[in-house]
Amino acid sequence: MADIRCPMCGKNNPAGTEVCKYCQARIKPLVVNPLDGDGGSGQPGKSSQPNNTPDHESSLPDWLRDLRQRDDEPAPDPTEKMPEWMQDEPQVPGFSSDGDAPDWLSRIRKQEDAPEESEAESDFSAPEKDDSQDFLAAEEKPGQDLPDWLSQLGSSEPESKPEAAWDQPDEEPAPAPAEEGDQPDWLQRIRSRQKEETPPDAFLFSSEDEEPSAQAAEATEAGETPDWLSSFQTPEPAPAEKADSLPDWLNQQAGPSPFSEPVNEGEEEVPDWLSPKAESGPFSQPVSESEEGVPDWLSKFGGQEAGAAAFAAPEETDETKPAFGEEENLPDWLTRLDSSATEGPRSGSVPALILDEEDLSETPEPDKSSIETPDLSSVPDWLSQVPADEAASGAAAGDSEAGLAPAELPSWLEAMRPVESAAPLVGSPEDTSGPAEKAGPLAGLRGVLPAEPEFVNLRKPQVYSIKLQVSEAQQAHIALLDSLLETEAAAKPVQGKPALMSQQLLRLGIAVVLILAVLTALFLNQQQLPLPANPPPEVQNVSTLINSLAENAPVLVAFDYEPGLSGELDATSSAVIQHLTARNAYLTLVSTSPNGPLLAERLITHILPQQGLTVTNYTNLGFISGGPTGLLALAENPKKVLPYSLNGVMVWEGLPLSGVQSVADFAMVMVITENPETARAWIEQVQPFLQEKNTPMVMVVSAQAEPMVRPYYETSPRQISGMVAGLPGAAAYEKVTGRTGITRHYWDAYGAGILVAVVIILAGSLINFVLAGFAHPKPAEAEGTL
Amino acid sequence: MNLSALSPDFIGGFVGFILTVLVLSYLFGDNAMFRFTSHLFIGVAAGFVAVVVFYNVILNQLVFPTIQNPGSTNAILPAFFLGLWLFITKVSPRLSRFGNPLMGYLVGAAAATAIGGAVFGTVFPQVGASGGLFDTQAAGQENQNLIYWLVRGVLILIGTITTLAFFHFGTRPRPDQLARPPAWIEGLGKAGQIFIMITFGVLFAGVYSAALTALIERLNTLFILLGPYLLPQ
Repeated sequence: MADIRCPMCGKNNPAGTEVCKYCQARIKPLVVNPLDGDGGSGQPGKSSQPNNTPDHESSLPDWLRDLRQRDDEPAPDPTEKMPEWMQDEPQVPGFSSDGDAPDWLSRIRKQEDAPEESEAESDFSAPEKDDSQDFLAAEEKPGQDLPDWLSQLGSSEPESKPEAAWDQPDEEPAPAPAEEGDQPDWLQRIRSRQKEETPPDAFLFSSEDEEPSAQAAEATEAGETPDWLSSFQTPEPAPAEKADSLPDWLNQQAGPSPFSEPVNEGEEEVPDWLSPKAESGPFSQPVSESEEGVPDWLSKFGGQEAGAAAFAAPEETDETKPAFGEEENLPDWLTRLDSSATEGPRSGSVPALILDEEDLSETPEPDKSSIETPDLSSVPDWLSQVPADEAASGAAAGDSEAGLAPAELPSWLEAMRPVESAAPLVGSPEDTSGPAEKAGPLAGLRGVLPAEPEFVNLRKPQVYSIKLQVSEAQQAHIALLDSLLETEAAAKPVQGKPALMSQQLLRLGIAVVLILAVLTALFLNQQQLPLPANPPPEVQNVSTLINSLAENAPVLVAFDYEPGLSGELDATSSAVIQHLTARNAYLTLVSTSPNGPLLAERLITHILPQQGLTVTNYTNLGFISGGPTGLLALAENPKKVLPYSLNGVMVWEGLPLSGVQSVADFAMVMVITENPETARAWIEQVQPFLQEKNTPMVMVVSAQAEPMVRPYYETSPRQISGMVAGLPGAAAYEKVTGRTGITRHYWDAYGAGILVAVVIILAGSLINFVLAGFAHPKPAEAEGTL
Repeated sequence: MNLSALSPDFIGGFVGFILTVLVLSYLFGDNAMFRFTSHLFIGVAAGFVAVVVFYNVILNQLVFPTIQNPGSTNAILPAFFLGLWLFITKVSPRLSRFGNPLMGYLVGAAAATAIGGAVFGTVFPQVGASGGLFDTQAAGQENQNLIYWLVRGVLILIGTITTLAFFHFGTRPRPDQLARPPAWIEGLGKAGQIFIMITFGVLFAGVYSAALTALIERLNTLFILLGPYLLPQ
């Protein structure tokens, strides 16, 4: 046995060595491959030249060595030796002479001539088409050297109906395969890919879309090969191309395949799965005779419906079955490959076989060149020859083959796989002029490694024009849109304001008139304007209640107004406070506003003394915190909420507040406020507690709060007993009480101001009315109103 | 000028005069003098409130009762610590969430108080008052003329109904027609619009009256302050 060449370092090792003694690389794969040494890439498009070194020549089998010798001979033009009828007829590229066909092939052809004799023949024969002949012709070359066990394959096929066993699990007879699409998917894809990549002028060995001529059929039936066909076969350029298509590493590493090396040459070359069938050959096993004749692995295979479905090809032609001996005799690894291919590509798997366009779409292959270049590295040697021959024939397959799914490479085969099959192609068919590698796994390959680095060829990408082709209409639209946007984005100039506008003049004029009127009234101080003659009932009620107070009666007075309206409320409340003081009521001053206590002190100590009134009978308890909650607490227990006065004196223990336990114990509750919300809070939180002892609550409110507070007076029963609202209410109260105070001093000025306001309102309304009468509506407005 | 005349009242009055003039400058539009015066008032008011709250609340309602009546500590100290806790937590934004429960209690108590007072102090009494508009016995008790009483009741009833109709915006969709309320509701709404206009007029009159009184008080103060210097004796 010859030395084994290490696939990694390329050095020879003694036979039987599993690990290279030079580079420690594993020579013998861990997984025993029945097709030992396979793994070559049978890509027809690859430019690989056979290694003509003596070592390589010695390691090649005889049949391959013969093929190479023939390859050196010039290929004759097949048309020259064609008979006339053949030249007229459409060429049958795949048809070849069967003069050297073995017996098994002759028997197969005989069976094809009588497809109606048996049911099995309906499965394998093509009665209307001689595609099988093409295939058989393609198999003639390796068949010449086929061993006996392989020769028996043909004889056993017609007697059996194997496809009915595993192609039709439900025992239904398979339809007669007569079309090209009846071939197995993987074979169809291989052929289609090879058709695409094989030059059209290549020698054709098979033609699947052209029917053979009648003469060819007759010659085939007779088992004889006409002379023209023999001469047609003699040049046989296909093996040469096949050998060329195989890379050197494959030629070196590929061991004898079942097709290329007879079985009797060495039993050690026969894989394990083939050994038990050595006597009869794995392809001569009659698989359809009965279930007993089916081997165990085939029984399992047939029992698996999925596997059967994977191989189920209802239109399968008979040409493939005898060529491969029966698919049920396929080794397990091939069965798994095909079954996995039917399941679709798995992530991370290496696409091995030829990929169709639809398969490529599912396979993550970013490189287009790698997609178009089929990877036949996973195809065993004997199987790669078939498509290689067919590709060499360059038969134009009419029907596109689809449905081929990628399979996985065995790990050992993946390890032996050349870089060119997995990586983007380095050497194209045009690179054959490059230097041949002399060592390593790339030994014999030419143009694989670039002579210069890749980056030398790098250049700047071509600059393409990105100028848009815009029509005139589009340009017009763009201009219109641009003009619109330009007007939107442009800042509008702010028109300068005149120093004095008409509105400002009007406002100033009104203010001047009003101020002059008020100042005139104050300056004159004539007190000509009479006080209200008929005081309103709510004012009279307040006066009546105060008059009914006992002397030194505790009166709770809430100063809940803000400084902004103190001018009004000071004048309004002073009249009532003056009346209370005259009744010698004890004033208990509180406030829910932080400013209230100070305003109360200001009124008591500053304003009323200016009117000649001194108030001493009072206490200022200060601020009630908490808003409505504080009011509720004050109504329940005033002592606890306000235990001390502003001076820090505990006034609740002395008279007259000693008897006050709740707010109802006060003789009267008076609220002075300008805010209707504050008045409502007092009414809602405190007034209900006053009902226990019928304690009156009166309001001294601003004129602006009167409309909101009056409903509480108008209710029946009244929630507030009396109300003095604004300066008119105070004037009415002074009228009722007969006392003069701040209100009387303000009353003329107030009247003047009201008069000015009335005049201005009337004048403005009149002017507006006149202008509206003379004004003519604009046409647009007139249309809008219709 | 006699310095003896610079009494506190005079100084206060003069400052008040200046500030009043600055506020009246708003007649010429918003200006810096008006804004300065507004900011001054806001700042003074805030400072004054802080002082009042410290003396009137913290001292008078917390410190003094605790000192003078130690027995009341049990009732005051919890409020003190709760207030202190609320103050501390609300000072820092990171601790603000720890004061939320206490703040929630305060807001909830205030809301309950306000709602209860509104329902029992305003809603129910006002609804009852509207129902007694035509109570002739009440007119006798109020010594009111019966005709006046009835006319007033009718006006209040019409004003209430029409005002409510004006604020009725509900419509019923009809095919191929604009979604509009019924015609009779629209008629009532227009009558209610008159009552609303009268109400707004009254409110405006009240506001004008209050403002006019305030103006009179300001001008009177200025007149008293500047009169002896401007007017011949």
